[in-house]
Amino acid sequence: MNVLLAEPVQALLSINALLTLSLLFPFLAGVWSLGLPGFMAVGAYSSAYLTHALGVPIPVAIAAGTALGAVATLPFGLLALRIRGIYLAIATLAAAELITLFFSHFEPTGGVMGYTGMPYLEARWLVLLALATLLISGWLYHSRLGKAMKAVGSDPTVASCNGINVAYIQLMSLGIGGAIAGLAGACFAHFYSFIAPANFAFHRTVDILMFLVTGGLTPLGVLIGSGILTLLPQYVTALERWAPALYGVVVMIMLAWMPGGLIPANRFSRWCRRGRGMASDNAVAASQMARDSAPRAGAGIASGSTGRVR
Amino acid sequence: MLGQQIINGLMLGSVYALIGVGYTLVFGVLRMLNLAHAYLFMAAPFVAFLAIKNGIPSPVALIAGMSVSALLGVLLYHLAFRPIPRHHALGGFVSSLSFGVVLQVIVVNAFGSMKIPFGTGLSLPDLELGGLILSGVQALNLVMATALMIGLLVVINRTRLGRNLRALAQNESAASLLGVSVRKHVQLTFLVSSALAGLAGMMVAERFGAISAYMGDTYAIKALAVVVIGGLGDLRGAMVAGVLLGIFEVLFQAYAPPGWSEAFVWLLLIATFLFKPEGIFGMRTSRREV
Amino acid sequence: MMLRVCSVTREFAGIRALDEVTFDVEKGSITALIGPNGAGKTTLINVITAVVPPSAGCIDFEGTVVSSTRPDRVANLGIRRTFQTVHLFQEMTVRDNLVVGRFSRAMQNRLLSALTLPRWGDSTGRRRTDEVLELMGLSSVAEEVATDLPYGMQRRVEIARALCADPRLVLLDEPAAGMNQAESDQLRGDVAVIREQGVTVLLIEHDMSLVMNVSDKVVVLDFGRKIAEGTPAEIQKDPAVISSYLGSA
Repeated sequence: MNVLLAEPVQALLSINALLTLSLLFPFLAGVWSLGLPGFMAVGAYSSAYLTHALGVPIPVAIAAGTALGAVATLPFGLLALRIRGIYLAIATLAAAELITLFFSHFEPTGGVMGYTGMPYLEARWLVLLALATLLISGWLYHSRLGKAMKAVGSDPTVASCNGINVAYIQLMSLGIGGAIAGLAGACFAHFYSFIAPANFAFHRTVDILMFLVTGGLTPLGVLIGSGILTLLPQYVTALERWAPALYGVVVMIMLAWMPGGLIPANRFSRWCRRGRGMASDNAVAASQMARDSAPRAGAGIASGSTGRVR
Repeated sequence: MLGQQIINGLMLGSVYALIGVGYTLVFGVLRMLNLAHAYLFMAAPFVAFLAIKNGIPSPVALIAGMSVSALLGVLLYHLAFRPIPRHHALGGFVSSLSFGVVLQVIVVNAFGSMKIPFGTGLSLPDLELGGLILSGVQALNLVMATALMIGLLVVINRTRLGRNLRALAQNESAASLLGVSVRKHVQLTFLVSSALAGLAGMMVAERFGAISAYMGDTYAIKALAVVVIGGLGDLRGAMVAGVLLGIFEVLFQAYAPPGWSEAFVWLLLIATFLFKPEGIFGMRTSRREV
Repeated sequence: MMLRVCSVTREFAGIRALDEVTFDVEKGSITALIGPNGAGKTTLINVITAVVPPSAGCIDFEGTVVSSTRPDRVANLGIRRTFQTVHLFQEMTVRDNLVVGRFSRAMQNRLLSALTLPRWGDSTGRRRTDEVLELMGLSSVAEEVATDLPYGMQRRVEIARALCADPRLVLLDEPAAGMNQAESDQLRGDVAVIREQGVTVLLIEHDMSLVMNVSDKVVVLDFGRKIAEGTPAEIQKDPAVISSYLGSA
């Protein structure tokens, strides 16, 4: 338990949770964007620069980093509208590398050597921000917008035929993801007080993907996946050298046996209905009976919502 | 001198081409990207290194390296690709990446993270062609790579096996109904593809005289660019794109400001997706109508 | 006139899937579109819903030309559809499927309703959703994952999803496909329910008893062309239709 009280662990948990969360909404909407290191870098560098070079107060800078993370998704959005699936994953991977490459050669923020000197932010703030974002994301996931995103990810053509502006939803999901990644980047910058392009490499995406696959595409899944895999090496210190291999094995097992993750969508609603057991069948049977017995005339139809005249 | 740069580019390009061909073979039959490829690339020279250290003669050690990576490739297929449902967009991507990471961590724990000197002890005379120097090893690499790629093209286009593989690539269910054993052919594809990866790794190890657990990392993603630009699923495209990218990279590094070499590759990759998704030679995939 | 199909042609890969098809759908009616497999019926639905553009001709819906626009614009003008094979959203409950069907309508009423939870907010929508669930006899399975249900029921969920959005015109693409007799009898009831709601229906079907019993007008396609149009009785006697499609029934 005292492991959880250590500041570095809290910070790592929060940042990993945020980063994993940043993939949730785009993936839900079927936008396989791996741009996250790029958005994280944008958030980190902008917040760091604003506080260090321009003396902007931390909260404002972090907010700016978050907003800029969202803005940075616009070019990725253009890609997302034209490219699909695994191809989009590769394209966004390349685009994220371009962003990191840019910062490697951008002298005002230190280039390859890295950037330092930004004010320090204590771990408890990171935890607070992460928790708040998780709660908001949970809300968003279950909201009508969240349902629309899931529909778009499930079948964009059918969603479109049901009145949903698919492009708009996809761009929005990408923007939300970018904002969260930007926030993670800003938090990263202010906790570690030093950032360099090497922090925003593809390697980070690999770790985050592993968390997401383990936990599942739900907010709770994000929390559990990132939480468990981040804490594992902390508790079993002998394993620290083998941590990435452990992640790798866990992921391969998850993908083979539980492709939906530990907390897949509908886990609870299905669990409550005990799968193919009594409850489901009863419900279906009840439905059949209701249809057979109900009088067919349009009796009692309150067409108040439509005011429709026959 | 420009000529020398082009030779160097050709060398780099042949490695890219070999790796790209490996990616393409697997993508062709599975429609999934094998990201463990670059880690198999890294594993083979380590096996060869161990063999040489234990007194095994170099040529045998090299064959051992290739064999081990070939076998690892088959293992990879069974662990990381076969269990994945087809519709999982990123399943194969993440799973193969995980396999690769596991390999890398094993190597890091066994050999450390630092570079280790590597040499096969084969000494070959340098060639001189009109002022350009081609080291004996480089020449051998080039010849082997070319021979392999031509051989591959011949097999794919002229033999029954190749025909079966092409059928699988186009339409798996139809091919399997016609008697093509999907599992055996895919396994064979992984075997060959991973052997090629191992060979490429040993070529690079010999050329630079050193190996490290991280040597595959840059090639992993660059090779993605190769297969995309060459056209996913197209062998000739991967070969041509690989060589071209190698040449461009060396030229950019020699004559352009730093960073532009990499930027060029990524921009070209994105541009390919946007404007010519089939790549240089690639096949157009069909659109779905409801 | 609710819907006018004006000389619609659709060509691709050298094949004319639709060849100058022209007919009207009257408001409040049930029009059936029949024809052998491959006659172009689903293609026509795809053109009407802007999933594919026509090569020539246009579709006019209550005065607005809808042929070359996006499917969601067409849907928001009031045209909803079902698909030849049921296309419900994966991993979503019955109610959620309906909520998605109503999403754009909810946003039309109030933009911020997108951020509300389905149990709260958009009271009009919630009432309507419950109504539709009741009408289609789906209330007891509302919280089940839609794709876990038996096929006939999934088909009804798809229809419910279309109804939930208060459409003016509903296009049903072979709703009875894959159903047994009992299920298609129920379907007949469903189509009647839709009509009672004041919604116009364009029905593609092979099941002749369903078509003849329920439609006001029948349009017959063959090889992309319209070969006949009229009441069910007239169509059954039409020689062109008999020779190409109905046989001697």
